[in-house]
Amino acid sequence: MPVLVSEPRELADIPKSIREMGSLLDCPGRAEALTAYVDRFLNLLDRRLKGLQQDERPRVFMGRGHQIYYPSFSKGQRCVVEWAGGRNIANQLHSRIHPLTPEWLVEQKPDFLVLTPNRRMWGFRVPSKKEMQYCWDEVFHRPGVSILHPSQQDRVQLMDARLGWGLRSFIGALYLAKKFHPNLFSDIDPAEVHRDFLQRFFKLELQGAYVYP
Amino acid sequence: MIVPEENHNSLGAPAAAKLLTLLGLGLALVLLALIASSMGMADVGPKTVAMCLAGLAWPDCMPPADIARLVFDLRLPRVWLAVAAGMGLAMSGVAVQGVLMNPLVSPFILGVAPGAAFGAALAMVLGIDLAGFGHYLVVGNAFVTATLAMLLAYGIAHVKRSSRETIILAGIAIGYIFSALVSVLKYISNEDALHNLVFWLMGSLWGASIGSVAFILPLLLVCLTALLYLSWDLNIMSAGDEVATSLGVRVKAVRLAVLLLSTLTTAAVISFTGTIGFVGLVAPHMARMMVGADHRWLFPAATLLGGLLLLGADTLGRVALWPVEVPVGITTALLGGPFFVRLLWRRNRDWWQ
Repeated sequence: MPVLVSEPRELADIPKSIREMGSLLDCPGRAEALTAYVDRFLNLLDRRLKGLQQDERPRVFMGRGHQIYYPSFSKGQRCVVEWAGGRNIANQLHSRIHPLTPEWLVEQKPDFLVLTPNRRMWGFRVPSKKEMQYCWDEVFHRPGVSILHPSQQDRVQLMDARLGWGLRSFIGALYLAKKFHPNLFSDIDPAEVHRDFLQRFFKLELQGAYVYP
Repeated sequence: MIVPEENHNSLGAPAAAKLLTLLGLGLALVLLALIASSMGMADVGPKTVAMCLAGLAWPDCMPPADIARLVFDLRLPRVWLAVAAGMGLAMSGVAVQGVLMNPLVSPFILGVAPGAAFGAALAMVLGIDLAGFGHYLVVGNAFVTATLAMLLAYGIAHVKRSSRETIILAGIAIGYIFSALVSVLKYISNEDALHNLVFWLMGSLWGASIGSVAFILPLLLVCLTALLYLSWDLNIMSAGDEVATSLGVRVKAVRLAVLLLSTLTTAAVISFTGTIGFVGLVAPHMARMMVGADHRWLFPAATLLGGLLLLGADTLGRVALWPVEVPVGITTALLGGPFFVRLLWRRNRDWWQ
């Protein structure tokens, strides 16, 4: 029996996977519409960030879950940072499985800390703003974080794990791109894109707080 | 039975030797603290650390702000927490081993660690706040449930008017119940919370802050003073409850007081550090080999040894695999275990008696 294994690990693989699933489930038209939607924003990101020099790309540390001293080992999440025009400082590490000493983070002086809490327990529940705020406060008061950016609290960004991998990771990349390069994306409202995407393809309303602050 | 060998009113030769041992341990602890506070990824050596400390009194000596912040926010709180936590765990170990007359007992065996783990898991998995500690949700919960576990164990034994062995067995049973509840919470938790919980259960000092030290240190000093006050009663109780009662010791009251003091200290420590189980069991035995079983010497010696052991283990875990950090619960057991076995191997008599 032929088996199709579709495991999009990087953002760029997602359109191909959508097409494969559309073909498999006999709804190529719907898959094409979805692919076109994702491609539109991936192309937008690519176009606007193409000319950036390395030193114009912020240095970003992406944590695993809301564990600030664990680097993300998800290739998808690390790709999201790069698609958003950032440089992931954990790429240089030999091991991304184990916890890092807080001094490493302080020594690296990242421009942004991005954490991807996964608060799902059952079903499609999305964390509330209050939950995200609590999580953010907890992260911000951990040793070393206040040394990094004592006066720039918006440099610590929380983004729900569901925007860090899979189909919606292009929306995660949009949120981060606007955070990293506000001048280049002043006309884009990622929350509006997210709302439109959910309504158009899934008939769902955008609820809860996917990003904080 | 403990038979004090020296004259208690004068510093005879054995007492002088013990005093020298304590001074040696104190000096070693200060030296290790200085070495540990000057080790890390950032190029901040002992001189800079000393200048930071001097800068508190003479602001002109203070190094640049970013270096000072690194020393005061990361290095020193970590060293101080390691010392305070090690001291607290070792002191509690001496207390429960002494009052229950059992060399295998530590506060953890009496249900305190599983109790603390349950409180921490409630906070991490379900977000339940038992103590209203706000940002210290995990700490507050762990403290409350650790104390509750110990009180339950003692309460069962007290109500049944049972022996010391019953306290231990009740503690083990309570510990199993709390461990099972932790497993239930692990089973229903999401990936993020599970990861957080597993890391907490390994024990780590990365969350060290001035606040955590300011909470543990005064409690430690008060409990140590109270235990030193009760140390002669503990010495007499080691001859048996009947003998102690006939000599005027209020055995039940002393036992309850010692267990409470030890529980409070252990709960305070592990609520900030997670489970670090080895120090409370081993440091008392090491100290007993050095200064004997007289609790007046045993408490300070074990307390200093506990600080040394935990600080050494944490520093090694912090620097051995830079920039990766090994949780101190692992390094403590890996370092202390073989060392303890070596000590056992070299002894030709049972030091416990």
